Amino acid sequence: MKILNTMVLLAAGVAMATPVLAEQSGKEVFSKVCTVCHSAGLAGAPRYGNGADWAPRAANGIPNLYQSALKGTPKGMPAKGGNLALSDAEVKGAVDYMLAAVKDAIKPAKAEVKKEEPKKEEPKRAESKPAPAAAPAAAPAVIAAPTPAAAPAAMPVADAAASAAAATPATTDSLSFNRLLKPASKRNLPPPEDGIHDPSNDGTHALQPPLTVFGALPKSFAGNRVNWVEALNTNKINPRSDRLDPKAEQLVMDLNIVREVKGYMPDVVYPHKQHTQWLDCSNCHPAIFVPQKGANSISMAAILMGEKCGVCHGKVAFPVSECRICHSKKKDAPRMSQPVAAAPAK
Amino acid sequence: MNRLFVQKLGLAALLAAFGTGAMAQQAAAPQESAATRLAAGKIDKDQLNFNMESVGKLLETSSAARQIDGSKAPEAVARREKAREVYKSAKAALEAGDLTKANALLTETRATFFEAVRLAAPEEVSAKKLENDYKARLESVNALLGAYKRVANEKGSNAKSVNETVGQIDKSVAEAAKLAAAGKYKEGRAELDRAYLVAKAGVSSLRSGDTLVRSLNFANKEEEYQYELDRNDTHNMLIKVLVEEKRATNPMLDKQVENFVAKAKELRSTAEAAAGKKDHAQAVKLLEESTAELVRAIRNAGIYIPG
Amino acid sequence: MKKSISRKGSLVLGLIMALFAMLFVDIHDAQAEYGDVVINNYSDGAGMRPVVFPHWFHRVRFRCKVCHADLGFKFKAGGNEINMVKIIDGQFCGACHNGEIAWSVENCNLCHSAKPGTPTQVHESTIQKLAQPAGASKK
Repeated sequence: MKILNTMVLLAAGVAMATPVLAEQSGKEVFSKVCTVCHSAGLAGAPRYGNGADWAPRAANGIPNLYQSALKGTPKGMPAKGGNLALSDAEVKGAVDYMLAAVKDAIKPAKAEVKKEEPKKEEPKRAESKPAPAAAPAAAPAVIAAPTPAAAPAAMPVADAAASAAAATPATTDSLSFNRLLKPASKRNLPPPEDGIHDPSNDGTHALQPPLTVFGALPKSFAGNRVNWVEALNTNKINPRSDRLDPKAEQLVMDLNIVREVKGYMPDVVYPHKQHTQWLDCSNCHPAIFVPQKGANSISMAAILMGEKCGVCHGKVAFPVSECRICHSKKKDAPRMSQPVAAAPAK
Repeated sequence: MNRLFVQKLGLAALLAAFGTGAMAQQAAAPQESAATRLAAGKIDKDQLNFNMESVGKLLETSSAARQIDGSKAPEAVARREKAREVYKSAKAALEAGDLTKANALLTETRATFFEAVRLAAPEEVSAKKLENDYKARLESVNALLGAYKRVANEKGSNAKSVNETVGQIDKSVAEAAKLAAAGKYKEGRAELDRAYLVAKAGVSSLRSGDTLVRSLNFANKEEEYQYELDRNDTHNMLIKVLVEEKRATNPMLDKQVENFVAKAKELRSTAEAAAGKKDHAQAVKLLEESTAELVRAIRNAGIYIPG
Repeated sequence: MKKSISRKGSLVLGLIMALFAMLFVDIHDAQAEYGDVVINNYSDGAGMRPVVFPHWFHRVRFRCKVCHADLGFKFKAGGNEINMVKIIDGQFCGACHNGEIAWSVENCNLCHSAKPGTPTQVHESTIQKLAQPAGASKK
């Protein structure tokens, strides 16, 4: 009982005093102690950012990895990386930091463990809306703190966010048959592999990772894998209509254009409503589409090549691999060509 | 004992939450963003060297520097001299090993330089953009106005209110044109924005809730042939977009798809030959078959698309 | 007594550990997203890293019309001919990145963050998939 008391007070005291204590972050520990072997893979060490190296090791479970890091392994890992001055938490933080870089490759090992966490995390994270005043990334952690986590402690929030976001479709490469559902190992690649951001730039590391935001948003199967229209309609995001005035109203127009197509393919229904929630008339009219029925010849080939609808869809808005979102008006019979004597188009 | 323990636990959780809350408050005081995270990071010597070089380029060779060079405003040049001096001291601090000071001086260099740029008439560079913005907005206003008149006509709307609206828009456009002619593109655009809003509201009130159907009617078989060519092209592209990754990992699938694609290509060339002989009806039929082969290829790969 | 400590005490310990983890574990690095636009009209020539513009981050805060209708951004990667003078003058990016609506434009490395030599492109666009895999397409 007495020991319990002390522990409780310790917890409180530590919580209050954390700013003063200044323990090092996993990243700091990694760059000071671990990188020597784990960046280049010296002595067979699993390399930072290399999923193939980490997958077999993570398959035994994360707690085992912690043990290896803390106690050392006969294969060559020294206890606490040879720096016994580090605290257990610091070492675990460094392990987490390295795991975070390969989270997609080792997901199957963590899938069961993480199943409960995302459910609890998601409704709470909805509060930390990434509105113009973006809450600090620590905020979701605060909300989740009192939850007596059943899973082994010290699973970083960032990881939970990642698995929450990616927990839905493919968890292993074997599910890559499905359309453009990229296997998890090819989605949202870390900077050293994505070919775009330069990892040797300090700015790159300060930028917010998309998954911390996407975790709270409704999912979709392509593009960003976020259903932006639903996010807007359910008020998960609240983007401004005016640069300066956060309360300005957006003028939305509800007008559907149905474009018939040949064969069994459902007809296209173009909804002005969803588009005018984001865009202004002048964005499309008249530069991309003439505002007159029958005046626009649109073909899928053109769209795939980035014209007409393809000006946005396939670049920023959802790509056209999601056929049924546009081709949404079913037919009972296939539409074949009309006899030549019929009325001309328009 | 159980209860007491639970109480203690509750207390611990509460205190923990407060503690972290307090810490989060501290962290949240300056609104967090990439910039605050960057500023809060540890200063790295290599990065600082790189930044030092970048700022040097900013001062001497960037578009902004060229603007100052070509500017007639002595204040701009003088301010840039000041920036250069701060830069020199930043460099000195870096060489002396004082990273924090060097970083701070570098930030000051940038700020001073930007002031210099603002004194060097940057509007000259932006003038073209303002003109383009005006022209784009004018195009949109005209498009919407045309649509409004046409739709109002179609629907047989109340002539009086339609004329009023059109009159309002025309007036604004004329005003804007006057301003633009005087070179005041920014004000002209602001005036056009007013016209634009009226046109937008007008069209929206007429069209809201409607459904328009663009039916599939071809004037002749030749038009239909063009449509079918597009359709065939589309399916070829869809194979690339939808099936490419799977083909790369599955050689058997790759071969099957290749067979279908070859058949489709054959049919298409026959169709094109028929079209060359002006037999468009036959060409259309052949193209439909060709596209059907491509659809089979895609379905074979496990992706169901309607035919 | 011992039993209760080892079960419930470890729960408290777990709480403390969770606390530590949440406070001290770093967020992992930024990752390129669908819709990221790389702009490299002048960057390579000027010796700066090309710019990466992340659509997703801005989409959460502004509707498309604000930049593309009000601020005059064209729907074309590299098609706006943005340079530092225009930004400092408050056009294009500078309309918000002025220290008021968003952080000021002195934070060079937050925008100039692409690998040197990356061609202007919209990351992961359909056209990229259809064009050469080398990613040389300019759309």
